Amino acid sequence: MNSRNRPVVVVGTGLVLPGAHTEDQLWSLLTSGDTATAPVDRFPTDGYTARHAGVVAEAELSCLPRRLRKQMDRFAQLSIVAARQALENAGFADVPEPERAGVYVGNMFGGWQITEPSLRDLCQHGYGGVSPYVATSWFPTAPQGQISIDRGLKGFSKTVATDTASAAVAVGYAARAIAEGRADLMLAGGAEAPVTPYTYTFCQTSGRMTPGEYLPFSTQADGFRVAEGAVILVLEAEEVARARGARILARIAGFATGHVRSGQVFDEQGARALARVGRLALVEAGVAPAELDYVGLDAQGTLVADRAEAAALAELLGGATDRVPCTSAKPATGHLLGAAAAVDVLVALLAMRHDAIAPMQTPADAAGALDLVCDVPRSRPVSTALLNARGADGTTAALVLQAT
Amino acid sequence: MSTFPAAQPIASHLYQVLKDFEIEYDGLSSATLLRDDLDIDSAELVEIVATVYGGRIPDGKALKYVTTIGELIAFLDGLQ
Repeated sequence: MNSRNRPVVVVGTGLVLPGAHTEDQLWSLLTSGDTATAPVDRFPTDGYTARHAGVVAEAELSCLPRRLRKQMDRFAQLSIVAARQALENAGFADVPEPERAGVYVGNMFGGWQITEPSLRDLCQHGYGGVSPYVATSWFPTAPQGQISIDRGLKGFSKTVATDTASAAVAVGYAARAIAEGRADLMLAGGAEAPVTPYTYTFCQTSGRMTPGEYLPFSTQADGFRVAEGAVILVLEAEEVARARGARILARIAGFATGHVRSGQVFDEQGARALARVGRLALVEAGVAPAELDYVGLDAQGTLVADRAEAAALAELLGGATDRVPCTSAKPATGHLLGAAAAVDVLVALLAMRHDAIAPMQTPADAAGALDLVCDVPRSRPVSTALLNARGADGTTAALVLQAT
Repeated sequence: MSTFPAAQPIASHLYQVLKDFEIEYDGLSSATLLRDDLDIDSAELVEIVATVYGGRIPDGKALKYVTTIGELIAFLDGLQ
């Protein structure tokens, strides 16, 4: 077999999400029509126009010993829980060949929950109040580092920071590392913890959050609600996975990423760029657009960005546009920003497992020709899925998953 | 039986901090290695010293040479 293009499969998942820390719980949430986003009660939200976010229950982090937790920001804690769950889910007690195993994580904001008190103390009392853990816990690469240490990974690892496309690029590049023979096992996904006063301020001032409800592809679309959480997937070379009798969830059959100027990513130029990466990913997967069973939407949730995504899909799918079901879990969980695309992969895997597409709760009165699955789940076999991801930095990305 | 010099006030204060930090070890002695036996890295060492001395941050360069419990007690003694 050509080691430069080995098939790559997903063999395990780990998740810590608002309203769900198991696959079954996530599926229940998605098919219930509810949202796990709720009024933020961690800090006063006076003055913020957006007051709802998705948060993870504290109990989900209690499995981490205090001595480990204290040295990490919340987003790294979430990533550790997800990574441990993912490896266990994949049937690994220990990683078999650590030098051939790495981790790629998508994140956009880094860690401020551990940092803010230190900065406050610095200003009020001097440097004695700065936590010695700030240095290794605030930056976006902390989950990569902590997961490597926690799971004993010695292979090349990376953190991707491409705004809301981060996790898509992380998963895609991780798959490529295996496909090209540079690794046999990769953890890949994303982690984000933006519900802290400082990060929430970034979200507020970005203008990307809605003061109301998160309603993608509707005439009322005016932004998203953010959420914290982590999703980590275990990717493996298919030949290795089959040899050890692993449960195979799907193949990462195609991936492409591109870039436009940041001001253009959500307009017509960006639409063409998104169509292009979708096309490239489908070509790599050997799938014709009309064969798709599922599209996981980027769903930025603004009129302009949604219109551009609809145009991209219309260009890509052509005459099949109104026959390929599209959805997104983002309104249900909240938008996990740098980690969002990893949630999208997980949700597509659940659709394959359940032979059903979970609905997106939105009026969908600005969906153009798209076939949006809304209100209730739609039962149909899902064997090929396209996932869209865009970042405000100008990144476009597409992943294609195929059931095996 | 532990040869930990618990009679000295600073040592017993340190011992309590280690317990509060959930750092466990049988047979804690002056020779116990901070990193190899107790898994205390440089950041946690700073935290321990700052906790013993109520927020005072030690000289990081000096802490580099503190590798055992005995050396840590001597270091803490010197800060008094």
